Amino acid sequence: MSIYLIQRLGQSLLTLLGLSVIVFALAHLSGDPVSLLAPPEATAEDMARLRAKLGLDKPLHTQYLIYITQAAQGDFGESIRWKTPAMGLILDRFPNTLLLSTSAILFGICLAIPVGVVSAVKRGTLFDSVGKVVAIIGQSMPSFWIGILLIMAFALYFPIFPTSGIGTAAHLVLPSLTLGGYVAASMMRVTRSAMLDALDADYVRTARSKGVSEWRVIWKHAFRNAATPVLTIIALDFANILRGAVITETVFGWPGIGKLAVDAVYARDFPLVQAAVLFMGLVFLGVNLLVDLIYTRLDPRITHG
Amino acid sequence: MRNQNIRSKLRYKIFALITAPWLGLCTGGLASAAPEGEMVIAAPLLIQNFDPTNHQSASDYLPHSMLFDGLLNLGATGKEPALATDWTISDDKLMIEFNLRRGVKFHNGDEFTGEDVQFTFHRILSPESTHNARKPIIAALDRVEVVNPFKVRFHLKKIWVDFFTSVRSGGTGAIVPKNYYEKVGDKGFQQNPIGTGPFMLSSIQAGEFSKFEANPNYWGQVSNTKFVTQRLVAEPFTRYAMLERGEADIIMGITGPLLEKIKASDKLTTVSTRYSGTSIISFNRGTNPEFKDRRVRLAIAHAIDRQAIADTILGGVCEPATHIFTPGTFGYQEGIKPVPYDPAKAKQLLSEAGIAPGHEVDFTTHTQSFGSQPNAPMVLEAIAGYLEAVGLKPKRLPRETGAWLAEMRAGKQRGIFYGPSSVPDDGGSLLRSWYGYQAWCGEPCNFGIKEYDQITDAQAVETDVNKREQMLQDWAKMERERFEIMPLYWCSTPFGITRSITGWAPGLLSAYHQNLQSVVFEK
Repeated sequence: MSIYLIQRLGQSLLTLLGLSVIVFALAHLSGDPVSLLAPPEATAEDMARLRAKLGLDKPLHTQYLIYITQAAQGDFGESIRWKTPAMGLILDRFPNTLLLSTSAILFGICLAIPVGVVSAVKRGTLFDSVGKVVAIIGQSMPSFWIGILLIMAFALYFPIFPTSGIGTAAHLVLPSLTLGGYVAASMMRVTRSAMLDALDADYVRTARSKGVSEWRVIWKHAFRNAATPVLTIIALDFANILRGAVITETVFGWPGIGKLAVDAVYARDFPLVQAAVLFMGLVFLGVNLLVDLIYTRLDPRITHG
Repeated sequence: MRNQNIRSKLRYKIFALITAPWLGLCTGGLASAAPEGEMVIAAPLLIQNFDPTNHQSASDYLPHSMLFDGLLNLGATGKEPALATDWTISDDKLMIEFNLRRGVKFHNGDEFTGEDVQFTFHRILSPESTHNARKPIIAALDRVEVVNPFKVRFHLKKIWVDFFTSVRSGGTGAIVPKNYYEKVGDKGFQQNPIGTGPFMLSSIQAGEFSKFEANPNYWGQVSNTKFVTQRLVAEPFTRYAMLERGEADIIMGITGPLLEKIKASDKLTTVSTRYSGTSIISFNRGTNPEFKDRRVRLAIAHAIDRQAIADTILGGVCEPATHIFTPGTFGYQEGIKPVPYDPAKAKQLLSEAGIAPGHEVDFTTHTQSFGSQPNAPMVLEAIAGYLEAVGLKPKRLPRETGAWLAEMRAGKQRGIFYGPSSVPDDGGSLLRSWYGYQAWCGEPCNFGIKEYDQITDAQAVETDVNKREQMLQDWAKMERERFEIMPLYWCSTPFGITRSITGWAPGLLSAYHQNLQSVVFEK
């Protein structure tokens, strides 16, 4: 296991290095931040002065070497737009994103798994049909629209929750419902599908013939075996929303990492874009590694190395 | 047994993680409003460049006009004293002497003196400065002389008619404290800016909010609002909901149905900065020689129902312009007739000019709004539709803001292109920016018209205000005849406000000079 871990960490490091090259190249291909920073009337000399001030006048490979050397020491440069250390901004926002993602994924799990399991058990019934319709609606309705509807309903017509921002637990509810509802839809479908396979398996039939209670058959025998694909989709959804739920963050003014990164792309804030993408890459790799390790706990047949 | 304990603890931790936010929900406050005495402004933009000697764009005035003062204010009655109490201009117009206000303190307690004025302007003049308005300052300002701590002299290289606009409060001449700035450097100043203005910066969260506190020792009118928070909220509906709920007291960037809802509400109202922007459609005669023909330019103006676009897409925030000068612009000429919407006339003019139906024209569209024109992408798409209706075939060339600016600076914009202008206070600067050999949009805006260039140069050195105004008005009439550029819209900037705000008049021409110290705020 430890050899496997070392191998995975080495691979992750190489992936991050590759990612740094790609994001550096793409960021610089996207255009010149000076064209946005300088006023419309700026002359070529004004722009050259500003470019030099930002260190963008050096050859691209020199800029990359400076960037990667400093990044290895934890210095990702200063955000051009917000004039503050880029990684500091990311780390400031990450707890907010983690809080929202965790809350949303927990809401998604609490909704999706019982509904997915019951839909599979009661296959072909009205409950199953309603569950499918809800899942399709959940996946197809744009989250900005759901968010606005929730604000209208629960912040304006029934003023229970605040409209936006961060501060109390109440601020977390509407964005979590918006984001959780979206991820619940995919979880629900995967849970139902995995449970249908499991319920048709021989060991379930054997358990039933042995007189095991239906509750135990469903949750102990079938669901445990159906959990691997469900865990995969939960992990993927979690990693995705950890990287930033841009729309939800924008609608609710939630100060998360995704909106920060997208704004940085529009502003051509290279240091912030690079820091954000590398950080998100790190999170994604970390979550994937964690899931691979959890697989071995859930299914002893899976071994590493 | 040990493993069981670990599992049990782990389960407990997971349970705690799941339930903590929801327990917090039960025990914590539910919907929260802003604290007492705090005015919250929710806006689609947040400016956190706090160093006025590194001024980058017109929107920088949002924080700068709160934190800093200039030597004078430009108000409804003209020039009003600010950090200078009075001034005299030499006979040759090349030296302006200011007597400075005594007893003014910076936020850190340092006394304001002439050294600070000299430091501020010499910093802008220095080669390493990236101040966006340094070009005209370098061209005209030789040096600032400190005669004594409360008297300074500006020595000019040449006559500079925009001088007082440059040294006004909220303009490019916001004064910074010399000693403090030299001590903390530009990075330190950006983190902890100090000015003499009506508000002091109390805290910021980069990209989220800036909090200000009223300056109790302000030399002028001390604000009745104790705290002001500028908060970035990108989604318009969320800003509206915040206003409705009382979570925000002022919201910016509202148009269309949401603006109508605010106007219809008993609890809310609107105030507006009138003529805070003007926009035009220009024509590159190089890429599309057909635009050399005045009939084609006029045909395009007749083809577009600007009023319909104003009523629908722009939600009543903008009105069709008769000229690039707004009624609030120095040099505005009354009585200029707009080109009416008349598609039949447009077709006739195109036919007379030999333009066959289906003729392709390059048309630069925008993916984002920029400057003073709200909803620019939709407005330009609507215009393209009107051009199609009269038989032209616009070839859409979509541009995001950075690409568009780069194209404009290089003079490479093609065919029909759009141009907005914020803070349209002086006709001379609009003339210089959009027409002739000095235009920032380069060769496509240089129409090679001698009279235009002569007026541009002459008004720039004319110190008689009446004569200068007449020059600009004459030019305005001439341009209506020649129709080199099509005026598009005069836009206002509406603010949604709650009833807790009274007595606020943001004034003309700039949404960025908010004059918040004049607000009476009761909450």
